[in-house]
Amino acid sequence: MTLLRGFARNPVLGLGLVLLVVFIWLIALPIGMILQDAVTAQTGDGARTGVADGALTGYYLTRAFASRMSGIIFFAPLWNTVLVAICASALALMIGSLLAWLLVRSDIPLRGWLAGAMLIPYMLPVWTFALAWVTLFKNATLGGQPGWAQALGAQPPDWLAYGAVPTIVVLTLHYIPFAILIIGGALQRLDGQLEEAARMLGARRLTILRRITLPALRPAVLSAGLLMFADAIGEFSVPYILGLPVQFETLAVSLFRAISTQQNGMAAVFAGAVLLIGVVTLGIDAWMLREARRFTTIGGKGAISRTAPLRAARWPIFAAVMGVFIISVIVPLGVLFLSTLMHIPGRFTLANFTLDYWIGTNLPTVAFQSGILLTPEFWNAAWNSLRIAGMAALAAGVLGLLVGYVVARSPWRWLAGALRGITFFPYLVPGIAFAAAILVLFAAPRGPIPALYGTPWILLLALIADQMPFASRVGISAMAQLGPDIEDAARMMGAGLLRRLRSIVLPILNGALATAILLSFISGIKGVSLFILLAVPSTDVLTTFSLRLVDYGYAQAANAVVLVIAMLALLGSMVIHRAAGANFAQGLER
Amino acid sequence: MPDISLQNLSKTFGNGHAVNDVSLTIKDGSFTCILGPSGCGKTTLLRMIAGLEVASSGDISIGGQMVDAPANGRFIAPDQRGVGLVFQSYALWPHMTVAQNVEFGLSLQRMSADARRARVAAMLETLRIADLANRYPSQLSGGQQQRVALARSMALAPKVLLLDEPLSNLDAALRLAMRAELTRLHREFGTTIVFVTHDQWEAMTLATDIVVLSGGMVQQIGPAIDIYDAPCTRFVAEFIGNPPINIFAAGSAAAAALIPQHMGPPAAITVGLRPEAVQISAAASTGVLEATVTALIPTGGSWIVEMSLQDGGPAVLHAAPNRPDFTPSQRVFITPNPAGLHFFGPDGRAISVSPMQKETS
Repeated sequence: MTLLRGFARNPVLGLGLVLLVVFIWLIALPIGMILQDAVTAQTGDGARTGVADGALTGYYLTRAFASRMSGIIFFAPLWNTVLVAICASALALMIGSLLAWLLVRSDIPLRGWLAGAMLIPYMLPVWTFALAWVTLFKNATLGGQPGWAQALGAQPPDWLAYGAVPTIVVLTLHYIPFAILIIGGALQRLDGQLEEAARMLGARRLTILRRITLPALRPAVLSAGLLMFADAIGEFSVPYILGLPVQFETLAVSLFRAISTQQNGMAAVFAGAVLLIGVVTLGIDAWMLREARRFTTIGGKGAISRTAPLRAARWPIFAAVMGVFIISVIVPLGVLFLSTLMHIPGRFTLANFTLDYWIGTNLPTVAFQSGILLTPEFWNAAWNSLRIAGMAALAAGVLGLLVGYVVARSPWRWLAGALRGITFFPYLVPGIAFAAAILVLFAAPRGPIPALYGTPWILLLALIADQMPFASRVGISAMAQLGPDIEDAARMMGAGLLRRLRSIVLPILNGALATAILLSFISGIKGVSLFILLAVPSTDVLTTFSLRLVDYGYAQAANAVVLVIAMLALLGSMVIHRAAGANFAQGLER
Repeated sequence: MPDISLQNLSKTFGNGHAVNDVSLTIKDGSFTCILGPSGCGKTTLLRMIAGLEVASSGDISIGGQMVDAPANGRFIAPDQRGVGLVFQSYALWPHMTVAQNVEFGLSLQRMSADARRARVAAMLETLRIADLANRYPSQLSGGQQQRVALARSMALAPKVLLLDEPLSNLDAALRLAMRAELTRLHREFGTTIVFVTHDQWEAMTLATDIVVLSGGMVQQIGPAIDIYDAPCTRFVAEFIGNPPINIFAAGSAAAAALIPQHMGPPAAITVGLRPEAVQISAAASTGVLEATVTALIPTGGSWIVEMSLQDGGPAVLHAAPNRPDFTPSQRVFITPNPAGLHFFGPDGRAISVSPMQKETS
């Protein structure tokens, strides 16, 4: 009775509980179910597991960890995953720190322009680079059209064309901007007075760098490294494109292949492994951040830091930085674009150039006989991308704001803590593992919810859940800045919860909400690892459509679609930059 | 008759009492101040009267109507109580113009558009901000924002107006102007006004009645000057008065010298002496305490003489209207004016001394 009265008087509690139930269903339940799948006999596995379907079994775990097959099935992909993740994040960290310092603290020419330009690779979908790589270095190992190097008479060895090396290079190029963002941001926030104080005591430049600057940046550097590592663990598209021709498998690819061959038990084991590595890595990151906060000093106004003169090295260093830009932006986009204009890759004669792959008709291929812009499947996928990413972004933005509202206003601490925790959880789970979990939940009808596999709904729900960490963080921090007084003033006049949300909270926070929705939208447009398991041809989004084209060997068409995605993502990022001004860094950390 | 009456009112957060067993009556038409240091529960008290917090026990009635009585499950929503609240932060809605801010509450009451417009215009006129009607809060100064906040609350014609620290966010000149404004509104509308503050100047200059609160408990209730002249606890004596009252610790030589013989053993009595009741002379014959001048501090219109006693202890302050005729490190003799002498027992309660006894001491 008193509880009921409490709800009537404070509808925030009701709202909070409804949200909690929704997120338990959308986030906790699927993850719980896929973990359970790893230890229960799956349909049709009776002969192998020796127990009835649905009974407890150690078969899948044994097969992965302690059978004669373990080396091939599990430990090789694990080793590959860890190798790629460590190498890519370490390389990105080294190059990124150097670039961050140059962009923040040196007098490198065109500093302002470079600071923006160097971030572009992070706005592009990561497998843009993978496709560009294949276009350039593809060799005879893979059938179909030749790569450019091949066409020009060279025969790239397998280690250069496929597998670990290109995967690492591509991921490094993608992560460098991320390292620049985090380390550059820390460098900017670093109080210049710390360094000046050391200079006053007679410390030389190198001593200051070694004893003051680097130790102060260590938390940011380590954090950037761990976040990149965690992201690389779950990366699917790059090793899928670059690794498969030489059987170079990572855990994410193994998971994908297990699902596509109906080995749900094994898929659950892979998902569990990926999830575990992700949780542990980000757990370490969270723990270290807490440790680091103990000696953070918020530098006040002392941000006037002097720029270091590069002197004679100024232009050579500029050339090197431009080199990175050319390799990570101009070359991949240029190669992809040119490839869509050529009948035969790598043959630079006028007759070989064509617009057929964009707007041609009656092409001599089995399927896709028109240019991509005249293909209904393309427009179908584009429409799916727009509406699914758009609706998910809208829903995630609003839900994030509501979560922020409950977190800020709930009189029950545990409710605020539970909501914050559960909406942040997908951040710890690599997209493909989360997609596998969602698939387990929605593959069959459960209760009043019909089976959603094969419908756009499953993509929509997965994307909403996947965007919640970012959306709820935006909502929470926006609400934290909105003091309770402003609402109490409306309460005094009899405005109920809905009226306050509509007339007070939403209009004030609409800027934050719009940014959150746009960023989620872009992330949804270019996301692939979340969708690859969930989309079927009729519900293809642009990303999965382009991967399907890769699989079928329609290189030009695939590259064209990826270019469209890349342009959409770039354009969206620029719109946000213009509209929201400023906080690029914040948004891109996702 | 909107008397506000609080009976045994308590509010607990977690395991601490924010408000502890408060009983008091705020008379209809009065201008009452709830005064106390930060964290004493005064804002919680105000928010309970407003209906933004629910009491843990006890009850509140406004004008004879019970509005909050947890014991029998009664709680009237804020907007049904006929009270308006002006927040310390003003809490103006930043996305609405001044006119829209004032109009919002009226539209919630389903008043017709014409009536709303007329009422908004009248309120802006009353608070002399008619020319700001189409500005946004961010374009206003602090004083203007407060007038908007007042207009917004008063538009609904509340019987009781609650103000949270009404003058604390304003600079000195504006404080005087706003003080006059509040006094005028109080006179003009006859509204009961209750405000909370930690600023004794604000309390003394505005309120007809003061409630001193400490640790969630009422220390003293009464007209401002009574509270200054006859503080009933050591806390009240120390909290009210600027410069603060001089305190001589129980058992110190200075306290012993100031306590009249008939009050019994002086060892347990703490003595307070208002700075303006400190009389100083350079001649030894008249003095009770011997001290050395340590500093002369100008405070604008008046002066403070800071002295240290021969036997140590905290500095003694003397407030003088004119430039004192002393120099630092000069030896002086202090005589108390009995009207400014206060005595407190070990429990902090004042020990009353009849005026006649004061004369003879």
